[in-house]
Amino acid sequence: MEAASGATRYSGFSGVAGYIVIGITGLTAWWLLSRAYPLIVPSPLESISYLAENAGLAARDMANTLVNTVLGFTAALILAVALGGAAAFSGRAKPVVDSLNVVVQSVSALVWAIAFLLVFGFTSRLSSVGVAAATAFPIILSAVLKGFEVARSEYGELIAMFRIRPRWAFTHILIPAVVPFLVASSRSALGAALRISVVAEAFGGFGGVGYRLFQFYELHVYEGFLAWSLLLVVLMVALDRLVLARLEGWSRRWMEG
Amino acid sequence: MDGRVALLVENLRVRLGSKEVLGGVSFEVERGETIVVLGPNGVGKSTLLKAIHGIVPYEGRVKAAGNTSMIPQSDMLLPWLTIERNIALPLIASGLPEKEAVEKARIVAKRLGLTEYLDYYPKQVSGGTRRKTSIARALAVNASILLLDEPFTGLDINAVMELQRILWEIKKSGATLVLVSHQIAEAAEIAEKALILKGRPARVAWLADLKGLRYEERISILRDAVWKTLSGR
Ligand SMILES: Nc1ncnc2c1ncn2[C@@H]1O[C@H](COP(=O)(O)OP(=O)(O)OP(=O)(O)O)[C@@H](O)[C@H]1O
Ligand SMILES: [Mg+2]
Repeated sequence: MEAASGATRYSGFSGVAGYIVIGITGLTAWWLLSRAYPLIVPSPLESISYLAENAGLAARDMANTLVNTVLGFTAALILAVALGGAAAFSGRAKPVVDSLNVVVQSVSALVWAIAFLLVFGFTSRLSSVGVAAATAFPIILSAVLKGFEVARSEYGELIAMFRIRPRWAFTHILIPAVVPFLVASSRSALGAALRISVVAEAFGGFGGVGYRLFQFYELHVYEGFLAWSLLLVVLMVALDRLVLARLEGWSRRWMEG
Repeated sequence: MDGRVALLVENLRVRLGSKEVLGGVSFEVERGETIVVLGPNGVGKSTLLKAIHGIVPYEGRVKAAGNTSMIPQSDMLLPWLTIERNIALPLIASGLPEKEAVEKARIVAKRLGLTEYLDYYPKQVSGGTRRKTSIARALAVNASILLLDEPFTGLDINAVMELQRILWEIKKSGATLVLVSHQIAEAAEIAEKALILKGRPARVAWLADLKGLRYEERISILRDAVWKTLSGR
């Protein structure tokens, strides 16, 4: 209970205070810039009222981007866990998955974006989903591989000592030991997927925040551009604080003294 | 093998990597007896227990009349399981229905005074409680030979005394104990036999029967032996 109240105090007060400081600093800088370059930089107030007028469009764009990202992320999660698990379980799969891990780490997001656009076409949401998946996948995969490695070195002797069958040990000892690695990496993977899938949307014609940002740029609607950018940041922060950080705390709950 | 012998170790050799750790170790322990294994850090005491338990490859002969169960040097509890689940883990893993396994774990826990900690996680309890959990886990699997790797290390005086009482109880139930320890006084109290490992690869440098001796005599014999075999190294 002591530890829990301490944790609440930290994330409840200091956490919010940090965002308030950053928010005020950012808005002030933005406002100053808008005063210095009134023709290019719309003021925060203009942008926010533009957002309010077009709330429906913003909500639709956000929903599209979020769905693309979450779908891609989920696909990556399933694939990474399956491959990481296969590598941990079978000595023959391990070198293949390890090599795959190195290869996917080194493919640029732009390459994925163009490749998926070519494959799925310009108006399909799948290109954005694919880019989100391709971005999240290497992050989760390397964490899962690392997690299994750590779990094995930590609990391998215990498994041998009590002559625990490999299959049981895998599902009841190794996988639970990997969960904190998985959740921690999911946090950064989902963030990365959200940031990058927007880029893929900008190239395509399906819609989403990225598509709209590029449209605003082309049509010189800078207040829209700033408003949508701001909204994206708020969305990401909210997602991280309200869902992912909590999930990570939950997955590590037994770590507290 | 003689009917009274619970554990026979003959010319046991163990290689780990490129290193020969045990270079021909021999001894035997009778049923219900306790042997204490002494020796400097890194000589191969833990390795000896693991070889007896059959989890490191070895050459030579190990014959055990009954199952062995091991209490490892580090407790090796699963941090995401409660004390109760940690004790029941090997039972559940071996296919015993969860309800029975937990029931059995509770009985052992009660014997070791762990009942009030059953719902805690390992990080929430003291080192002594964790050690008792590790002992309970090894006891729950019903083995006639217990291999204990430095069970007293890191415990305070009260916990050591309590553990001493628990070991006596286990002994009274007829179990054979192989006890690795640096604590001569504690070892002398329950051991009928003692051996000292020395050298690289390790061999038995000293082996003695302490049966029928008074506690004071056992202590002084052990102290003497440790001093003579290990000081001039
Ligand atoms: N997996 C391994 N590969 C290679 N060498 C090992 C391995 N495990 C242990 N050793 C070596 O074997 C020797 C014996 O180790 P062991 O743990 O049995 O010693 P110990 O007598 O139990 O020491 P301590 O008193 O510190 O517990 C050590 O020199 C150690 O470095
Ligand atoms: Mg040791």
